Amino acid sequence: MNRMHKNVIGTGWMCLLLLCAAVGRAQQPSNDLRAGYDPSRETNLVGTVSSFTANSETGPLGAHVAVQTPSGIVDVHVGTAKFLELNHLTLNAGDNVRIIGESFTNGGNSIFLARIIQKGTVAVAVRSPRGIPLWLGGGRALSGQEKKSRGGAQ
Amino acid sequence: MSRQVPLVSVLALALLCAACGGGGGGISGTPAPPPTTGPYSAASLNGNYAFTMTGQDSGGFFARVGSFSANGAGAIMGGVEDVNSGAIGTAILPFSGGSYSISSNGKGTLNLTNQTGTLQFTIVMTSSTSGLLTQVDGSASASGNFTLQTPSSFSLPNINGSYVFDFSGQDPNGVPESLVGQFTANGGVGGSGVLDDNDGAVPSGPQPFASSSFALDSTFGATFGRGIANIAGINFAFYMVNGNKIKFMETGFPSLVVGDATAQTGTIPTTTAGFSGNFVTVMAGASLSGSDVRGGRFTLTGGNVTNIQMDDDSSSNSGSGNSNAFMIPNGTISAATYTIDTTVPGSGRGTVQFTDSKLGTFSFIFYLISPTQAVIQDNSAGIVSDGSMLAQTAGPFTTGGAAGNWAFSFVGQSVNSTTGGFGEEDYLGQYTQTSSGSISGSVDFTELSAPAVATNLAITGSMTVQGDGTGRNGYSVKVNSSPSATLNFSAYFIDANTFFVVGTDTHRTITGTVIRNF
Repeated sequence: MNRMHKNVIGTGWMCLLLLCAAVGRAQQPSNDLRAGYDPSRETNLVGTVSSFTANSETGPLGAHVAVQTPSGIVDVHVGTAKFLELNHLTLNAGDNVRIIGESFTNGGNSIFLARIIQKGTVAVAVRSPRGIPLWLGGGRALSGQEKKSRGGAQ
Repeated sequence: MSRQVPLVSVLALALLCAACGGGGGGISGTPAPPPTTGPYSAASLNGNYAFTMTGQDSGGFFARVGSFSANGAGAIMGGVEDVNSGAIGTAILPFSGGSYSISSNGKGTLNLTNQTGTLQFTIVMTSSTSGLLTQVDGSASASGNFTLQTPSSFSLPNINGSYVFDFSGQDPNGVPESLVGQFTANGGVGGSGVLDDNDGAVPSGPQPFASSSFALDSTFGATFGRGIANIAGINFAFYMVNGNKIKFMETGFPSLVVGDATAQTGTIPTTTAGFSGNFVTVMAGASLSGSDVRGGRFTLTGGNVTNIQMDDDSSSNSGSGNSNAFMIPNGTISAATYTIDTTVPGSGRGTVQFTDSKLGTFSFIFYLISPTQAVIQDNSAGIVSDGSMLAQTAGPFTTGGAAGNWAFSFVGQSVNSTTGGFGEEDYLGQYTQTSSGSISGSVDFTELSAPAVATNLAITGSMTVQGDGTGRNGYSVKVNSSPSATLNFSAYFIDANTFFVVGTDTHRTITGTVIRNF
């Protein structure tokens, strides 16, 4: 059990360390999503946002961002728009981003699953180290730090 | 997370929840037809009821466990709940009163008032002692169940013997987590136990723990069965249904796992050879891409797993849409085996696994509550998920044999066709099925992707039993909202009175339980 509360919203320098650790790993053939997330296969995607789609028509469900990289456009699944908003991260066309994650095949398509997204000095973790979504709980982990009453009967 | 009725999905579906705000306005549509005459009335809710709910509020994933007292005549006389919410943290909130109504078909309303306001639910009775409920006041989307308590059992000596538990939710870092296992309690004096923790797709394997502790609340314990406990180092509030069933919720915000513990009964098999049967399972949780639900049936005999038919409805399944359930087998099945774990004798722990040549290896852990009931945890690669594994009894099943009156709860995520929004949805309803399989009834639901709440809308649909009915069956429910929405499922019968469903639509990941209610 990993029941120590960590600050999953990494500061810029912390994430830069993580990003640097991933730099230079050779691109490997993509696994099927069902193979699971393998931290040793993580890569560092650097590029410019060409579009952001809050609710994509292609899987996985949720928000996708198209990132222009030197080798072409990469479809990146970034969780949900609501979770990014809760973490004060907006992704717009023209933004320069660094994304740690892993590339998979999914139903014949290629998809890059983001684990950490960095724009400027803001970095947001959207998946656990084993690739499991952090957005499913909404703002709970965040609420531990920014808890406030937002109305409604309990 | 088995319950007295074999409802497992709602608590596990904690992991399905998406990050969304509260609900919004109403949804128009065709009003439900007059309810079918049945045996229920306000008198059907009489006594103290323990309840559990999970869902999404303005702070994200949240849960509540508690107890309310109904007087059999439409009034709530009191109660108390524990809440663990991103919006407020943890709180103990007494109910000062409230009201309820129940139609003859078992469907009704429940209002519980506390210092924060009045919670509004719709309910449906599944028996004379239990029911399902969903929140419809727009401040949250949440579902759960309630069960008649036995106040005379509210004492520590009645927390005695071996219990199997299934707790699911998320760890302090927001990572989906499932804990299944067994603990012993000697008259409320904590004993040892063993658990399997799948925390963020990192399965622990069997982890012994040395002690647990239980204490009844001096204020709410005697009346409502409330207490506090520590199991494997995790602090919980609990509510006793009776000595055999206890509802738990973690109180260590921001982490939150929630679920039931059930006393082990019967002779728990200690060898693989001593355990066999046909089983139906349903699980809900998370995969790499979002939510994931799985359900199906298989046969366990002599260490081999056969007759596998399952559905896997995942956010990742794409094709041309966002979500299409995979049917299993999809390729060739191999290495299909199960074991009873002899390294933790008497715990009821076992494993099931098989490999599909196209979909990979599926790996599960179970703990037996009895020779015919278990909690199950999915330890397949990239999955955090859990639920129930129940012996399939009776059968063959027929469409005509399924005629009658049914209550249902569906929980999932969807992309709204009008707004394009994405979020949790909770459905609760009741219908009559004819001998030809036609369905007609009513539904209430909250859909965060709209966002909206709808009550008393008409539903139609169909049940189409395939073959002898022991495998995958066709099932659909059309919600006559404007615009209408049809939910398609695979249905797996547990017995003549209960079946699990797994969604098969694009743009929706959903599962649920359907129970004959009269």
